[in-house]
Amino acid sequence: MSGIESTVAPTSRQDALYNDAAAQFGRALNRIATAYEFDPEKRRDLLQELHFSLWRSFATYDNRCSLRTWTHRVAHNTATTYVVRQRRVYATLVSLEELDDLPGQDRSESALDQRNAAERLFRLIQSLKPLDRQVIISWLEGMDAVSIGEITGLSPPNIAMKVHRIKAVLTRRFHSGVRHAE
Amino acid sequence: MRNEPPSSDEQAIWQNQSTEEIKMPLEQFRHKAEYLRLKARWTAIANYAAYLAALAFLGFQYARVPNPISRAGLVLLAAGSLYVVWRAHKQLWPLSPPSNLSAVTGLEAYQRELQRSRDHSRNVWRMVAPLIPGSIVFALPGIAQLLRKAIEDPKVVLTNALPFCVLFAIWLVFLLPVRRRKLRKIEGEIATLDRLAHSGLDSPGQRGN
Repeated sequence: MSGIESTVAPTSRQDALYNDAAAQFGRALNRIATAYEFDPEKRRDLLQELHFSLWRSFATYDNRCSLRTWTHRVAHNTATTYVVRQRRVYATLVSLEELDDLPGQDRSESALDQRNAAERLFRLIQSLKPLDRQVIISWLEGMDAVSIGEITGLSPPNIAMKVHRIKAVLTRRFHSGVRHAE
Repeated sequence: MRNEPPSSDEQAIWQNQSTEEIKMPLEQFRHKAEYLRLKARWTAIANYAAYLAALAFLGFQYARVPNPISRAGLVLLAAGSLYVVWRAHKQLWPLSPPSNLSAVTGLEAYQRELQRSRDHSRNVWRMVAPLIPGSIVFALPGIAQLLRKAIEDPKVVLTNALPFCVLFAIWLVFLLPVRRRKLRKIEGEIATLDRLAHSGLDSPGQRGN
């Protein structure tokens, strides 16, 4: 079920496109909001902003890319603007490379209960810089390298490298503990 | 196109998370778009009104102040204010441009937002700089008077000027380096994104699908 429902019948192409995108990708938009804002109240505001930006963007939709790519691009770009304007980028966020190099955290985290895996995953995503966050979210959404490239603008080798790092980081943080416990 | 089925535990955790449902009628979007347009218009009008009031004040001061140097300073201040209004007008108009967030890739959007943030920090100085020559010329007669008093009784002038000097020193020692460090971080991030953008000549973001 979509994360948002329209109560007005589509009166224009813009409305129709928005309704279509909200129905197909509403849940994905909710997940993207979760990845960019931890606080539930602020997340709700961000989600509304994502939907508003998406609706506005369809005034200029030209069919040059798929509805899915368009929707994800608008959502990520809106959320990135949100993160940069909150001045979080310079203060606390790290790149995938920096995260991969951080020592010591994986062992302690891996010993934690696996029930916390979801929350740990969200916290890990929220600690990343916007571009790396776009890559990891797109990968978690099950997108292939071509789609990730269309959304982020990164070249295939860059995406391959980043996805490789994502898998390495996730393996270290989420699976080494299980193996260790066994 | 629907998502691929999850191929890892983390993808399953991600895709199966419970999400909150919200309802936003399309009419609300239209109202918000109209609100943003009106807000941008009133912000611009308030900006023009503030500078108009400042110009009126400078004209009033010009009529009151007999000193020709101070008057020249007021004229320079008025000219500087007009330049600042013109710059602000260029930034504020056209009102509420249509969102083009979808036309660019994540890399470009992130880069643009960082550049906007950097330019905003720099523009603070650009907005203030045109007002500095006029302020200095306007203050010259007062400074000369202050210097004369300082020669006559240095202790009194030092006591009066000390708080200002201390605040200025704190600003120079602490705030300027913090601001510079922030700008360096932004520049570094922009440079990293530049390298990323140029490391793949066949960037897929340039194509449609």
